[in-house]
Amino acid sequence: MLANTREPHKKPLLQRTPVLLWFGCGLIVLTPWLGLQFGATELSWQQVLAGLLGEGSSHVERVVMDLRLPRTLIGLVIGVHFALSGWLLQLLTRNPLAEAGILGISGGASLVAVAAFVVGDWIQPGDNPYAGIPFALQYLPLLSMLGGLLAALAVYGLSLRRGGLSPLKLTLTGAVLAGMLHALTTGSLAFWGQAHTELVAQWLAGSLYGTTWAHLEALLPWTVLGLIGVVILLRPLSAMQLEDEHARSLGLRLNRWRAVALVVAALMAASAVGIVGPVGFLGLLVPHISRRLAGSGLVVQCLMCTALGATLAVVADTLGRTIFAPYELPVGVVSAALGVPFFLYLLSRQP
Amino acid sequence: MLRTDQLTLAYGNTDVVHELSLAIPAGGISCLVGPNGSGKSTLLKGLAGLIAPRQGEVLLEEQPLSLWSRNELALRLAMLPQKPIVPEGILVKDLVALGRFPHRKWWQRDGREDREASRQAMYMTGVEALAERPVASLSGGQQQRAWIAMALAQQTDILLLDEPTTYLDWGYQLEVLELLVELNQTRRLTVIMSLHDLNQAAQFADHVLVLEDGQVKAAGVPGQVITETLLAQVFRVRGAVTLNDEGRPYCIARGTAKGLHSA
Amino acid sequence: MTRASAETNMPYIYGATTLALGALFLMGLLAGHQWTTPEALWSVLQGQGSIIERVSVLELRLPRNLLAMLGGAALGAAGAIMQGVTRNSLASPGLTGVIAAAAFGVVGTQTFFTPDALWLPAISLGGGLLGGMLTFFIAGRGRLQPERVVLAGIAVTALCTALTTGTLLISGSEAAELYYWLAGSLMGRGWLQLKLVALWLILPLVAVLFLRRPFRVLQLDDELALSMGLAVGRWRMLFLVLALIMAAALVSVTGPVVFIGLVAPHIARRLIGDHFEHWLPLSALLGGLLLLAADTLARQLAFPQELPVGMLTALIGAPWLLYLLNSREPVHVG
Repeated sequence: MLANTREPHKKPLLQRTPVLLWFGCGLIVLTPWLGLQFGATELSWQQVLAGLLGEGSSHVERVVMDLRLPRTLIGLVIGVHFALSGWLLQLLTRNPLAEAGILGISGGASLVAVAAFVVGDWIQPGDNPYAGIPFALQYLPLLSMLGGLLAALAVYGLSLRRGGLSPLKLTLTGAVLAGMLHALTTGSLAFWGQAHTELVAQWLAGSLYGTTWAHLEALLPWTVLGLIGVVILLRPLSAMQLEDEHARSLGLRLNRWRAVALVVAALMAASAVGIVGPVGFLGLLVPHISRRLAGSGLVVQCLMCTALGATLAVVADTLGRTIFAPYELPVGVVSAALGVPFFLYLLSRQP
Repeated sequence: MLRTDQLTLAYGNTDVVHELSLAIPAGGISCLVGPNGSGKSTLLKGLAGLIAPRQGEVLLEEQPLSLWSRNELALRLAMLPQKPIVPEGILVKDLVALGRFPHRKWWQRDGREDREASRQAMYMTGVEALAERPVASLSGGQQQRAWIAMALAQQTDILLLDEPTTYLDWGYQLEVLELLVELNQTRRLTVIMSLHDLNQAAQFADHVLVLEDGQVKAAGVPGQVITETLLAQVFRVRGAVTLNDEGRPYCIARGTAKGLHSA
Repeated sequence: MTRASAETNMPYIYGATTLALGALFLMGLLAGHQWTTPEALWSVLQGQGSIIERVSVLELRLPRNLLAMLGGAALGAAGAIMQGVTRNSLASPGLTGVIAAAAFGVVGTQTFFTPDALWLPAISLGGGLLGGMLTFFIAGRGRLQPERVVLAGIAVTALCTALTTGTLLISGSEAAELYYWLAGSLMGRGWLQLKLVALWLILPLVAVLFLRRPFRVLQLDDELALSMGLAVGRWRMLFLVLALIMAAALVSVTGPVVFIGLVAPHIARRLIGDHFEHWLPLSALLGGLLLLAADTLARQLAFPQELPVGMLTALIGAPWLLYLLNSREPVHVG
């Protein structure tokens, strides 16, 4: 028997699983403190602690409990949503450049968001063009989430073929649909939504501004559903890495599991987009980093995605709040600004 | 064990395999040979249950494949496609472990039994020492052995391989074929594979099926099937077939056979 | 389609397209807030007619139609070039990130500086060039596998869109205007804009039409083309740059208009059968026709207001593309 007697491949320290897991936990525990401490007003960690325990001044308490804590927590959660959704989609489409925008989710959600503002105008007409806002903002999360899901459904339906779902077809169909939705969104905004440009622009850039406990409550059920979905998918996903016929020969019901993965990814992305608007970059970048760190083990990749996604979202948001304080840069912009050079660097290293 | 009954397989609107009825003998090494486009790949996929027949049936243990669940089928048949795609960055041991997929429900994780099966599979194919290495970094022959290990870990009675040697260097081709013979003899694994090289088929197979235009032109022991007439008619080769010292035929090509085909 | 029938069909196809183009052009001159009668048009063209009519036709509609025709032709040609040269039937200025990058260039510079309008084509060109280079870099530096080019282009487009959206937040009061620009429109584009980009559009177009033979050879396998004496790398670069110039120049005055560069060459291919020599000119003709048609619709559909033409090309182009994707394997040419 011809055997190769070279030494087994040793992983560098940073890539050993226990190290990574501790690293991830550390990130998740430490990062929120950043979010709570920094912002328009800088608080010391003692003040933050006091605010959390209810022992600080009323100002500190208000800043910590009413503004920063919900915002930071939501940041953590949407980071997880976008990162995991991107990870699933990259696996599903076998395209390392995929993320939720590819399914038209951001596009669908954006179009519905603009439509919500415009319709708000019609429902509550008046001399004041800003009168329509309460309607829009009230229903915005739900509506835009529905918009995102519809778009994903359309992409799925359009890319189905006799044999099932082809990853390339999915990507291309998604790109075309996303392009169309983007053009329609911009067009609608230009044509009908002139009064709301600034507000919508803020939303379209992906922002945590004004997020409250109510938003977190609305989001969490989807988070739970999504996480359960991801856990269920772990085993089928490993077989899905093989080519279609090979996976089927292992007994995998490919079409069914692809559909499940798509649903989970769409739900996580759409629910997050509904709350904060499209933040595409997290879904694109975080899975890449996770793969670099975690290697090929899917479970570790998944955990790293969760940790990194949460962390990066909060870091981006905090930076956005502090760099030009008291003006805010939305988390979508910061993550894109940070992400672009890093992403280019990652891509240049790829074979 | 595995047979077909008036099987017709199609791609889109074109029939590739026409009303084929054949039987694969259990416990041996069967080889499908034939020119490009004769339907070898399609037939293999049909035998593995990966293509639904337009007409006719494939029967495993006298039960049509359509009545088997995907999972049950995966516990009986393992298939290795042509040029399989290597998942990015995957290590040999993880690739082999993928072969255990049908043995556990989707909510279960791999257990001791699975790890043992993987280890054995890697041992038998000689890739145990490569377990921690990325599959993409191995040589052609090693990669193929890793894929075979994955199919072995599946612990099936039947292994189907689509042109397992076509993309390998000569030495590696023989390495893989010898491995398959050994597995067939020690594990009683039924091997069904398509090969391009007639001489390899002659040397390693117990049973040869010659396909042409989706029909079986000849089937049987290599010595009976591989004849000069066959070479001329199906492969358009004018050659000489002699028996080597092991009683197996081998072919030497002298040139093309013209005028023996109508079109 | 046999060779003989295709041969005899070509004049008819050209004729039909040109006729349609002419008819639309004419209609475009007549249509508007107040429809001009044909007699009035005739008198305007002779140098008479009321001031309103003269202004409507000569200052507003004529340059606009010319721009639509020329710009559409440029887009169609650019799309055909990209598809032919990369052997990828999904390549187009839109799907390779060129349009999005050019748009970002314009939005970015408008937000942070206030460049003179004369600079816009150059800025747009620079942006588009960077975007295109980025796409090809990501796709694998010279290997240009069709799939990878498309995937990379999608990513670059997403990137540029995100950056554009972010920049718009900082634009403050200009945001509304810029949004309108981003929707793609020919509204208010007159002689000024036409003169600005005419050369950028016409020169590459003419050059490309002259260079049809190298273009044809370039569509063959690389090695085959090399063995025929063509310096493949250089010619490919040249063609891509020409395509880029045309697309980016148009973006600088109209904003991003997508799908025309993708759809026109496909329609052209359906019509020409085997006659590849006609692919490029026909793509240009059809592109002009499409944009002119889209613009005319944009002017009339929501009368008395104007829809952004980008919306229309998207609404028409996307379903067509989806149909294309479903009817055959999209990624290889021919």
